[in-house]
Formats: sequence, structure tokens, C-alpha cells
Amino acid sequence: MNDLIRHAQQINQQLARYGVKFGIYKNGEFHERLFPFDAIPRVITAREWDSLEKGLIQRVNALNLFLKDVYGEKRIIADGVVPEDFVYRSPGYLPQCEGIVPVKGVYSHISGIDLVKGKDGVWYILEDNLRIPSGASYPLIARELCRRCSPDTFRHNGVLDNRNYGQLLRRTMDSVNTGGINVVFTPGRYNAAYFEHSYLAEQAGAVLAEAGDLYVRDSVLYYRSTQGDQRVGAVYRRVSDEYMDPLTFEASSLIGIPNLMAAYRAGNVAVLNAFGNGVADDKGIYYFVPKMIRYYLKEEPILCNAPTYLPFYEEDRKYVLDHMDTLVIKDVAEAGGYGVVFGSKLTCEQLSDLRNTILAQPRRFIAQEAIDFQDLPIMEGEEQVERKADLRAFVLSGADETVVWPSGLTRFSRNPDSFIVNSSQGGGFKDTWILSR
Amino acid sequence: MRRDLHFYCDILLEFGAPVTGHAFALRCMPPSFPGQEILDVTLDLDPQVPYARQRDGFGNLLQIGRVEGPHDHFRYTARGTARLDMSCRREEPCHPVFRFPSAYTAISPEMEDHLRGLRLPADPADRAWALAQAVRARMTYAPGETGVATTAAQAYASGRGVCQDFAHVYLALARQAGLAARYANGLPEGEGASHAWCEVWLDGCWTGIDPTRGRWTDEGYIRFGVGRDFGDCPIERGVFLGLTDQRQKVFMRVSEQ
Repeated sequence: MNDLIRHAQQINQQLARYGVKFGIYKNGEFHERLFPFDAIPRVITAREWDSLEKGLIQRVNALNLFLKDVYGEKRIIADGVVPEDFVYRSPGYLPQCEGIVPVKGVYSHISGIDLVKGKDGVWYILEDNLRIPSGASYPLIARELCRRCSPDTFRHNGVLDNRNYGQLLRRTMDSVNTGGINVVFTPGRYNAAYFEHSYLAEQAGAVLAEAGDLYVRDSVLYYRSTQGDQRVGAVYRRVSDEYMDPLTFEASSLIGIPNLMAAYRAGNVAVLNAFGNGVADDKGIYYFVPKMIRYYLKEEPILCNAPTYLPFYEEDRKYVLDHMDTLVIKDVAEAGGYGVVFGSKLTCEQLSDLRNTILAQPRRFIAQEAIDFQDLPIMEGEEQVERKADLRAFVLSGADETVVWPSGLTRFSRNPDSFIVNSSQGGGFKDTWILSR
Repeated sequence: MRRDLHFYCDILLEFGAPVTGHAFALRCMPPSFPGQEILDVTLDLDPQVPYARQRDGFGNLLQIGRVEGPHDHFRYTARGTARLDMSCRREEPCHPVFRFPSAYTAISPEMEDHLRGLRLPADPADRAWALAQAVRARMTYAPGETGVATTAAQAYASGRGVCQDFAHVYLALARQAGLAARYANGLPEGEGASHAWCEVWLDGCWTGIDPTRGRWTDEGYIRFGVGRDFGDCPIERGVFLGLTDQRQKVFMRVSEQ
């Protein structure tokens, strides 16, 4: 480990050279910045991982069943487990997807599940990301560089190899491919995660394509290659639903593929992840995921949610209004660490404003107990300090199986007082070691 | 009363300079459903290109295709015969989404105030009717002042608009007043342009109401599409490559055989 710390600067220089960057929009301007790497890994033992793995597979399987249900029979709503308000008012619910079953019935192929480990040693789910979760490339390339700097570290510590992410991704794409090439579809180089798009395409042996490279003819998606047009069987798209097809969604989108929806509807192309997944990773729906697991799988959830209250329910509303100063309040419409408010940090006036907003629009918010999560050591210059950190686990669901990548993205906050670790809010990342024992 | 109506819908898009890579999605062929039986229908495209037929998430018929090479116009002509008979309507399930606000039909505080002042009847059909009269009382028909992007709240604030705006204002109010309601478009009997109206779910049946004209619909309305609002079921949507302006000429006719 000390070997790695000694090489930290070199690794960061290499990351910069490879262009491992993260883009942020701030005040309408796009800034690219490096995503600082901290050499001290997060270490997860085999035993701990075993339960995480089972819990993540269970959760993602239930979420996939929920999506199939919501856009199909809607049993979970009819049975009163999930109130319809949380489905049909969700901006992620797309009625255009009604009645469409994606290839092999898989909706969330690549899921990024965010967790934190409490001081009590328990892992809590923070949120599910079922649309276009990013971040797998960072630990992937960092591990590569770490191995180069210090191969012995990995030989002696029994760290599971994580270099198979590209293969897992490829296997997932192949399992739903309808006959044709695999494509990674990127909005282009001004996207925050462009480095990742190109890197993953390379790792998965897929073609990296932008809007002008793809078109739909006779309800089939084609890629314009130098050797003529090639049929596309699976597209791992890194563009949001609303910009994917200007003839179905946002009409002004220039980064989409006109009539992609026609190819998708006809079952002629697999789209990873499916359209409309936002209804299942909505902050409001989060509350119901343990219930989904019991409902669809008839199992008890292996991983727990952070204790969550829905002001939508009268009983919870009362609790939330009485304990606003200790709770974390989240606006369900926001993402990326925006719209998250710590009650303890608000002035009396702000608290009273928020109280009124919650009373007026209870459906818009969820409230959570602030989890006292374990700090991880990071190097701040020569000094080792403790910082808040979370873990994004990557779960891949193909036609036949759901697997968890034995690694993950550990993000930490730079600011010692901040609990928010989203990359878009600053902060850095670590490698995540899953031990073989 | 059963009626057989012949319909003719001819739309010509003219581009100032040739365009290419033109992808289109049309909803210009009326579907059959209880109450509206399409006896025959043809669609001609110019330039003549193949098109795929699909149904969207709302059950509307879609005609989807692509004109690859340079062209300075795109014309689509649908014609056929519809057999309309309100007595054939059947109970249908209502998708819950028609009870919630949508992009175009979010209600504004002013509209909520207006609604509160209306003292609406308890009976859903009476309420649906009263709302249509309220929209007509509030709104003035004024072509050319609103556009395809105008929302219900904007149209309500100006008090002016065309059938699409009347329909959106109606939907916003009706949904807020507890009715399940959806946007409908198609061709009314006569000559001119396409029309937009609404359908309200009453006693398990989708029942047409035309807020622009302040009346229930009858066997004089051929329906093309339905949706939460205009955005879900435009008759034509297309994207193409080319820096040019676009003009549209529309001619529609619906008449007894």
C-alpha cells in the first residue's frame, strides 16, 4: 500500500495524460477538470462482498421486474404497494414506452447502485441509478495504472481482478443483441463523461458513435462505417431519454437518432439502458424498493435503505416536520447531489420556508435520517486525513444473469464537512479492492 | 346514428432549398376502434418512399420512414372512408396518466383560482360540460397568436388561441377537477384544417367534447390520435438536414359519400 501512496502523484499524472477527466457545468459554462485519485484503496473483504453482491443482485432484479410491471400490467399499483402518484407524476415515467417490452425483457442492463457504510458496519443503499450511471472507467483505469506502478501489491494482497469490466459489458450487450454490431452512443466530446464513453467502447470492443453516425431505415438502426452501412444490434447509449429521439421525445434534440424509437419498438435493436427507467430510480420510488423485493421476489431485502420518510404519507409528514433539523431532505426531481438539504444546516427562516414547501407539495420530497457513515483515510499532501466516502457498485443484467462487477467507484468529498460525494460536486475517487478472502 | 364519411387529408411541406436525411413520423391515418371503423384508407407519399406502420404507446397509428436524398418538398395524402357510430362505443380502461398534468397542461395558480370560483356540478358529465363552457367563455378564438409550443397556462393567461390551446386549457382544468381527460385530434366534417378536441372518461367510455365549439362531439369527427396533450400525437413530425425555411400547405375535407 505504501508503495501505491508513493506513486500517487505519478498515477495522477498518468490519469491526466490519458485525459481521465470529469466535466462540470457551472453557471452555464462547461469546465473540464481532473478527477483526483487517492491511492489508499477502499478494501472490502470476501465475506462482506458476498453479502453485498447477493443484495445488489436481488435489488436490481426487483427493479427490473418493477419496470416491466410499470410499463405492462401495473400489478404493483393495482395491489396498492406503490401509489400511482409516485409513478405517473415521476418525470422519469414515459408513457411513450407503454406496452413496449425491450429485448429479452431487460430494462436496466447497467445499474449504478450507490451505497455507504455506516459506523455500525451496515451498508445502506443511498440511491439507484438505472438510466446512464457513469464512473466505471475511473477505477478501471486507475487499477491498471496502480498495477503498473506496483504489481506486487496486487499479487500479495489477494485483490480480485477487476479488469474484466469490458468483457462483462460486452457479454451483457451480446446477450440482448438482435443481430448486428455493438455501439456505444455518446453525445460527444463536450459531455462530462466523454472519456469514459470512448474508454468503455474500446474495452468492450464496441464502436463509438455520435448522432450523425447512426440512422434508422425501415425500423432498423444502422451505423455508417467506412465499409458501408452496418446493422446495429445493441446500442449502449450515454444520452438521456429525452434527447434520444427527436421524433418521440424532445423535438429540438440534435444529439439523438430520429426514429430510434421505431427500431426499438419493433424489437430490432436493444437499447441499454431501456427508455423510461427513470421511473424506477426516482428518489420517491426509492422508498418502495424494499417493498418491491418482497412483492416480486418474495424475499426479505438483503441490503437496507437509509431510514426514509415520505411526507406524502400523513404519519411520515408529521415526523418529518417535527424533526426537520436532523433530517436530510431531498427534492425528488433533482439529481447529481443538487436539491439535497441538511436540516441541521438551515437557518430558522429557511427551515420554515422548506416546511411550507413540503406542506404545499408533499409528493416532491423525501426525508432521510442522516447516516453517520464511516470515514475513509485519504492523503492530503503528506498527511493522512479522514473523509466521507460512498461506493457506486456496478451491476450488469443481461438476458440470462445479473452480475456485480467485483470493484466499484469509491468517491470521497474533499471538504471535511461535506457529506455529498457526487463527482459533480467536487471530490475525488479511490480504487475499490474486493479481496478474495 | 351511423354515418359513412369520406376523408381527404393533404399536407405539403415545401423547403426553400433541398434537404436530405429527412426522417418522419406521421399520425395521419385514423385507426379503427368501437365507434369509428375505417372501411378503407390509403396513404400516398411524395417523394415516394416506403414507410413502416406501428402503434405508439397511446395506441395511435404511426407511419414512419425516411427520405434520404435531396428533395425540396414532402407531401403526404391520406384518404379513405370512416364509418362513425357513437352507439358502438364500448367501455374501455382509462390509462391513469390521463388524470395527471402533462408538459402542456400544467395548471397555473390563476387557473386554479378560476376553477375554485366555478362551483362545478358533482355529476362528472355535467362537470365536463360546464368546464367546456367555462373555457369558451374565457378564451377567444384567435389564429396566429399562439404556436405549437404554447402551454395551457400561457394560453389561459392571454385568453386567446386556437383549438389546440382551447384543448390544453380544458385538459388542465378537467384533470385538476378530478376528471380523466385526453387530447384528441383529427378531422371534423367540412373543409379546412385539422382540429383538436378532448375526450373525457365518463362511465367507462371515452366521450368527445370540443371546447373550441363548446359541444360534445358526434359522428362528424374523425379521430386520428390521442395523447396527454399535443406533444404525444402530432400529425406530422420530422427532422432533416438543411439550412432552409419550411412552408406548409394543408387541405382537408370530410364529407358524406
